[in-house]
Amino acid sequence: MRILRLLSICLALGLPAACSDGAADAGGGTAAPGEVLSHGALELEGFYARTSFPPHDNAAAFLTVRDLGGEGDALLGVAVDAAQVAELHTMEVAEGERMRMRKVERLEVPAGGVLELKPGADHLMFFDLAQPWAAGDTVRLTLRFEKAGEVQLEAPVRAL
Amino acid sequence: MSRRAPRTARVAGATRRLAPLLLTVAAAPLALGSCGGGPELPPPFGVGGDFDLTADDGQRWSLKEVRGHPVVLFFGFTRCPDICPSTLAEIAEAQRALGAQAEEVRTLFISVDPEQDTPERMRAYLQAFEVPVIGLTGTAEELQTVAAQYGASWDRIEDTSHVGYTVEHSARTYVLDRDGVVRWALTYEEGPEQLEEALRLALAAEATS
Repeated sequence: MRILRLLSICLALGLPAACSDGAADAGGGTAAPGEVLSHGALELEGFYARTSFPPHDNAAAFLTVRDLGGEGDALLGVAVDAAQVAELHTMEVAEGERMRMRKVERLEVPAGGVLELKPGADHLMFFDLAQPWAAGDTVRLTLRFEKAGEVQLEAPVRAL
Repeated sequence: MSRRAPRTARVAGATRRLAPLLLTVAAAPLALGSCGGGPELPPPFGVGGDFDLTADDGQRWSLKEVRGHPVVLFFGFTRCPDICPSTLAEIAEAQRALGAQAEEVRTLFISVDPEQDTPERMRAYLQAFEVPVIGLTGTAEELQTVAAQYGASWDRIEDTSHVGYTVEHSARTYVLDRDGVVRWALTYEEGPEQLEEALRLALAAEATS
């Protein structure tokens, strides 16, 4: 009975959250799928990859990066355990409606703002996949930021 | 360029964008006079026409083969990780919403990457999607000509990415009536709701030729 009462007090005070070594609250740790990850002055969330399509020679991943520190940052590179080649890409609309993907060397995180990698816009692109990326898989991304340094994420692979 | 917002926002946005289409459809009888038999389609978009390309089974194929069916047609390439699969997914969603009548719709995916998109590659790629899609490819010259017919364009551009090049291309989705006339050229922002409405009208309209 006393133990139960102590536990209920603990829960009411939110102590388990503070006591846990859950990945989401440790800067620079590896975040599990679906988590919000703090990394230095940045907050990373909504990270996921898309299933690859036959013949499975490329894939894409997306996430949102929020700058909480007010200084801004830049994403300089990416690597993944499930492919040999990983690049940063942007999507431009030229001449009003022509779509064009372009490899870039950096993606800016505006000071106090948000960098959103999403379908139809900036994204992470991968080539030479180790195997088809299927819904339910997880891929481990390593992102390299100019100021915040490297961070690893586990991104769930989702179908469209 | 707007991206896909949460569903409630998309429904609201789609309703706003659908209003002009509905008004156009409603107003069409005033402009064209009553034709009798079926709903009024919007006027011809002014692009399109018949063409011959190579289908994903390796055989020559003509647009005439699907005369009598509403057609959804767009330009893309199989190495496109994003826009093209999204467009195919939206086409699938629109057809799913239409139910059994969607079986009459013919979906065409016309390549803008003749270098990579062999019939075999296109066939393998298109099997990953829920709706039957006819993949069409050909020589660069043929594919440029067909794109131009539909008011679209594409260019192969050398770049520093792993593949060595990318293809810049127009991203409209065309809906043709049963007579093969382009009635809608939906932009990338216009989502599955607009496409569903266009297909609904195209299915309800009878062929005249």
